[in-house]
Amino acid sequence: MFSTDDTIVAVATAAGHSGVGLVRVSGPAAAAVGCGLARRTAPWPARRAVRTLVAASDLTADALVTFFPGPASYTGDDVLEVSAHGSPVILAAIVRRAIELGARPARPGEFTLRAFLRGKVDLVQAEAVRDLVAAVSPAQVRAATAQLDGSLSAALVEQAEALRRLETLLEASMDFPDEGYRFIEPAEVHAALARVGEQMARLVATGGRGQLVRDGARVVIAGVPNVGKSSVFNALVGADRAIVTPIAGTTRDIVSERMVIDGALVVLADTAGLRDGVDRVEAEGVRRASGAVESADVVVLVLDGSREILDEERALLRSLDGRPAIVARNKADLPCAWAAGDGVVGALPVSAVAGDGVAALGRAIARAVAGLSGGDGEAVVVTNERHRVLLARALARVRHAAAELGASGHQLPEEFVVADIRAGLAALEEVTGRRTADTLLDEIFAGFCIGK
Amino acid sequence: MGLCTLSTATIGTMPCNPAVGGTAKGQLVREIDALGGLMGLAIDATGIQFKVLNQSRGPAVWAPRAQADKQRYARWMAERLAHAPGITIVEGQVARLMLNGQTVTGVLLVDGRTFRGKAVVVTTGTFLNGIIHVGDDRRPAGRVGEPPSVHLGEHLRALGFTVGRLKTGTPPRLSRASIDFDRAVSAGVFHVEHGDEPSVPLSFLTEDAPSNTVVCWKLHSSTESHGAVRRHIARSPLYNGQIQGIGPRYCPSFEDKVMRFPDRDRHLVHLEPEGLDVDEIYVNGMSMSLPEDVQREVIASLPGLESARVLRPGYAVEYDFVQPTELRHTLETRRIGRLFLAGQINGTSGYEEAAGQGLLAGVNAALAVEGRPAFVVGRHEGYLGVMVDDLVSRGCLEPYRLFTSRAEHRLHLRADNADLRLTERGREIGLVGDARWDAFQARRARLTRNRDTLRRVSVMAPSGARVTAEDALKWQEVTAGTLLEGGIALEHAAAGGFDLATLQTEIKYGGYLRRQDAEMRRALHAEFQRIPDDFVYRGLSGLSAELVQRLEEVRPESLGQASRIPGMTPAATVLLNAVLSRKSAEKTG
Repeated sequence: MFSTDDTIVAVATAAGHSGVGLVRVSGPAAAAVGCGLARRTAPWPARRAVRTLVAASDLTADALVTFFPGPASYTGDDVLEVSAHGSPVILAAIVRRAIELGARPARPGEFTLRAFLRGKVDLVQAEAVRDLVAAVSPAQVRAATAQLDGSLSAALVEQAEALRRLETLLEASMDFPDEGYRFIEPAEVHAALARVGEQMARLVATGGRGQLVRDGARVVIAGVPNVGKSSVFNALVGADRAIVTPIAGTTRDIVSERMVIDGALVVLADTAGLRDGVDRVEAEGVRRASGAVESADVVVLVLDGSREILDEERALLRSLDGRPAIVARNKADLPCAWAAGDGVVGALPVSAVAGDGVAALGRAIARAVAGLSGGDGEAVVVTNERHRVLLARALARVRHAAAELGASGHQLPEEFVVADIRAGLAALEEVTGRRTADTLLDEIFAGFCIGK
Repeated sequence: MGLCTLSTATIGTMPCNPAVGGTAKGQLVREIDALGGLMGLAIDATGIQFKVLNQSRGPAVWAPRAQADKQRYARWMAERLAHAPGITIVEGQVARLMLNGQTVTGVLLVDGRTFRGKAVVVTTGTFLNGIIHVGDDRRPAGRVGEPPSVHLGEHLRALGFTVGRLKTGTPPRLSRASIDFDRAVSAGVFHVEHGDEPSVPLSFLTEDAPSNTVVCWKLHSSTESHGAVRRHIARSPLYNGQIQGIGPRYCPSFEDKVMRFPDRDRHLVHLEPEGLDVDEIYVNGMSMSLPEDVQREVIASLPGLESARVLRPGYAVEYDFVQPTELRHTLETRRIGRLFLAGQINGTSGYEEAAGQGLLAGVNAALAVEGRPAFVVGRHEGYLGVMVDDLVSRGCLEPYRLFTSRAEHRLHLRADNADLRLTERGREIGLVGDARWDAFQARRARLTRNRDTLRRVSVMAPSGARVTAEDALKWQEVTAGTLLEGGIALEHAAAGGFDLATLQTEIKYGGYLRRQDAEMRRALHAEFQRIPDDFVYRGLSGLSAELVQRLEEVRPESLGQASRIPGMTPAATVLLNAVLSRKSAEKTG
């Protein structure tokens, strides 16, 4: 690992041109860097933005410089923030000058790592910083913000406290046998373990929704051949091309795009190119398509409004009963061929070719996705896989303790209950970084961008 | 080897409760025994009542305890020492250490005699600047009727050791002849307590179960007793500021119990005979430093003790101790080479804790003189290791005593397997003689054969199915004893039941033990990450000034130990790890 007590510098804003760019400096030489940049010797006023000319290499730039003395700063070190016009040339010159004045280039995540090492944030909060920077959907921002403000940490601390209290009472019973009684009755231990287990289980269960928030909901476009699935897919994708990222490893026969539709992060999959064919390759494609429909979070069933509904389509409609699904009546630019009373209730008229109704379809998809991760459940959602795995491990130990205690008719000796409680606590504390391995930190902070 | 004592007549004296063992302490006595120490054998030979505490609980907290005949115990110890080859006993008071630079070379006695030595172990008990308090009566003394050791305390201070004050106490002793036990028992105010039958010895070498020759009595204090304490509390040196030393929270004096738990209307009291030929009864649970007249009043207020005669009042004793953060894991001081400290001088209370440290300090002094590697017991190997690591890492704010909760790997640190954990290590460095070694190997072989038997033999389950005896032993209601009664030929030595206890626990709770072993192996990684002796903490940003000071005092030997220092945050541990890795990379690269 690298040094944690020298001075680091990095451009904190995104690479490229921008209106304003920010250079951040952290470490014991931050004030000296500030004085050097501004060519001043006077002590730097704390927490006040000072407009000054900074001399960086062979350039002079107009800048706003703010000094945050440690420990009440983001990293806990002395921190200097220099805002200048966002030309990469200017920002690079400021960084070069800072390095001449005693700083070294920061590694990814190093500012936040310092905040963690100085006890400014716990590990969960540090990870939230990373997630927040990477967030593309409002749900991701909300989850990361809740994590950053400590809601998840608080929930974990509450569970850890409950376990620690049980441990203390059980230990007292064992260490002071002369007192001749139990500080807590086994039935009470059992009930408390069940309570904590329930809370943990609820949190672990949010991992499913957390995954939706993190990776996006799987929205699959389905339908029989020639109803215009691909056109609908392309129309939806086209609207949001700018922030679409292709997913690596998509299968040849299912095209999918990760994108944000109306604020909802989705992985939109098109089962286009699949026909009810006879040859083996196509049969395999059909099997995969129906697999995709099976595992979808939301299904968009595309029907052709210009002709009557087929029996096959009625079967598809029935199979979607009770699942989050949207029915699109495509080819709405043509006359509707559905007999009165034969239509599908709530079908959205869409003309993928003309582009009509595509926005409404997008909104419907976003609503359906919001319904999945709906506001009904917990305020705190576990979006991080590391957290989910550790929480599940803690839960397994708490459940094991409760189960064994129950199975023994409350006769299981205390030290074995405590063994599980202690192991569960260790897993919980690993989430927030109260206990941690060095390699873990490297992994976590490597996922950051430089300047955070 | 020379053993210098203030009075040869008081070797082996038990100034407080004449008992050995108890929770965590019983496990410790077994560990001392497994390494060839005498304590277990002494109590087995001279005990008068034997009991395993915590029997209603699990095997990791079963704790053998025995009451000693205090005269016989002291005599037994004195005789063993007198006949031990190579020990010269010297009567006298050590005034100061002789030094060559920062290494100790011997001791100078108050009377001017000098003794040279290549290593010195200091075990001053409660004698270092000891002051005994009974009400406002305070007098310099190490134990009642024995003068304190004043010069050595001053000398250690002058050498720069961090010396603090602790306090402990003892209850009054009553005349057995003055108490009508039968009447109190039939009146229902005393409850008779018997020893276990069959009894369980403390030593692995004791072949026959020792006999219980006395009974004890249990009673409860009354609201009158509590009222008397409250009326006179201003006369307690603990409450009027006369005592500065800090007492143990977990072994509170009777006045502490009354004042700190005002809603408890009664406290447990045990009456324990101090021996077969003595009149003294130890009043367990009533350690006091109130004036003698108040103690008499309190005693007379206890049901059944209305006319009991107080032979000796209880007292509090204040004494010097050296902050054990001054020590290495070998119990050698970092300040002075070849100087080892053990027992109450390191802030501990209890005979067992003292004995364990005495063993480790003595062994390491001998190993150092011979130029051999140190003998350190890990936290995962024994309570000996837990205790020493706690002391040297955390220091003492109050008298330290062992608890099972202090051990991370408690399921493994049981009384029944102390020999399996430590005897082989003791043998390697010459602590374990042939007789013990042979007995140990025989026991290990029995254990292996018993495991084979359980796997080979099948029994009938309630469902009618046949299962191996091993699987049957995992059922809650089945014990090794029931299998034995059912005719399964399990071998076991006569006394102690160690063989069956070990077998049963390893099988019944095998899942738990395996999981804890896995956790233990993971945790060991940090124990092997060494921190150099000359590591510079100052200037590492991210460590607070307090923490830097703490780390400089303790000088942890490994990252694992550093993480256990009070005030160490996980982030600080990570930081330290980062710097250590960088340093070692610089060195190798």
